[in-house]
Amino acid sequence: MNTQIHQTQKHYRTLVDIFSYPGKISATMESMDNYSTFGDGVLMTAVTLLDNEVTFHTTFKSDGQEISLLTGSEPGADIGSSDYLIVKEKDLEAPMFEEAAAGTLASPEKSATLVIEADSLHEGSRYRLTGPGIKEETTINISLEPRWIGLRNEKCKEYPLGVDMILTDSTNNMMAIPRTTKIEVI
Amino acid sequence: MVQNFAFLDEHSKKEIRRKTLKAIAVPGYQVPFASRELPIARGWGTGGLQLTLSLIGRDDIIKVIDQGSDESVNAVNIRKLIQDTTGVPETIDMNEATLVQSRHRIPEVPLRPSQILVLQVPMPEPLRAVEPSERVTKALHGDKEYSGAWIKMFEQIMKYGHVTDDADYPVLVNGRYVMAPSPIPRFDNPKMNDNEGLILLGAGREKKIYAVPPHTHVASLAFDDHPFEIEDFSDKVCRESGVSGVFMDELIDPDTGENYYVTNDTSYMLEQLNKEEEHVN
Repeated sequence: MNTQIHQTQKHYRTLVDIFSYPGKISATMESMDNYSTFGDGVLMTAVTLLDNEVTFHTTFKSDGQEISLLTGSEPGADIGSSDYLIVKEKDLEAPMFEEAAAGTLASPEKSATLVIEADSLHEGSRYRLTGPGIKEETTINISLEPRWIGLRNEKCKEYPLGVDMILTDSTNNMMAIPRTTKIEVI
Repeated sequence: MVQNFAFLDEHSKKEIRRKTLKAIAVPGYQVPFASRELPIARGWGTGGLQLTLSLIGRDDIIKVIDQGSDESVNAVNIRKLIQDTTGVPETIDMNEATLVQSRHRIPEVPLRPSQILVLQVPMPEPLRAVEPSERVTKALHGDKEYSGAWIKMFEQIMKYGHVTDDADYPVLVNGRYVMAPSPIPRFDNPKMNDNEGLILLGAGREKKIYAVPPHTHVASLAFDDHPFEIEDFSDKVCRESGVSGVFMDELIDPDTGENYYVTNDTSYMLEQLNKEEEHVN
């Protein structure tokens, strides 16, 4: 029987794999029936990682209620105090990068993770990625516009401070861009 | 008795999983985690075991090694606990295993892409010998202030003419964090640099998780006039298998009183012996 325990384990291994190899696209095979407007990639990530010990931020209240119901996690007071920022590409706003927690020098893990449902992880702007997990370099084509990547780069300027990103698309492809990855527009 | 899959409850796994992803995102940085109680004592591989239990699924094939051996007490007991609570198959073959938990050795067979090596760590803090306070060492890591690590090595050179750290020789990860690689021999340090698989390190008693992602620059600390050196086995040949160029154990033959050498990584040795046999037949 494929219970949620096995689903989240499988999804977690996908997350480990994409965090280990930034830019690598991996499709999650698990599906998560729910009443939110997000796809399986985002909801499986929420169900895998969120519980009552962490907080999250979403654009729409109804999505937040659904995520709370499924995970036991509560929305944070504001963007800066939320551990996970769960958002669709079309609803992205500059404060989600600017105000996101970047951790402290002594505790860089106290930073936010952005979970962004993008339109596509195959088409769009072209970027060159370098850093740990990447042999030489890799190029990606994602729908996320350079201005968002610019804000992200600004946030990750002072390593080890920064934010990590999990990107998904409507066909449940997933990609991770941790703070160590250098992103250049090409 | 009703038992959760992979022993830990899902809330514990979630916490370990969140911290592990952070560890991969900040290579070499020790992420604190709420180390759970397990049926084995802290300091006996509980950090590695919690990582393994949070990772393992029904599609995995597990290999557990203790100082190069698949058959020592620590390895057997940890493997039994993992198998009893998950039902996953075991192997001693590095090429078959998807998940490898190891105590104090990185196997001779290089990791392949997407393979995960979990190392058990007794003392995760490389600055602990020079600074007893956790609060202070956290600040030192934050400031990238590693004079203590260098002075410790400098003092060893002044006193003994060379760096005396054999196992657990400190490394600099991604040019940022000085990291204790767990008590692997110096021989294994270079294997961490730019390797294909993911290395996760877990310290259960000290409640820390840290990681070396694939293709990450890992350099052993060294001075220009005292370069890093691995244990030298270049002129030694394994008595059992005839292989050379691997990490060896030095043993004494009780009958003759003579020293001899045997390959430390037993599954690698077996693989070589089997190959030889096939060749003969």
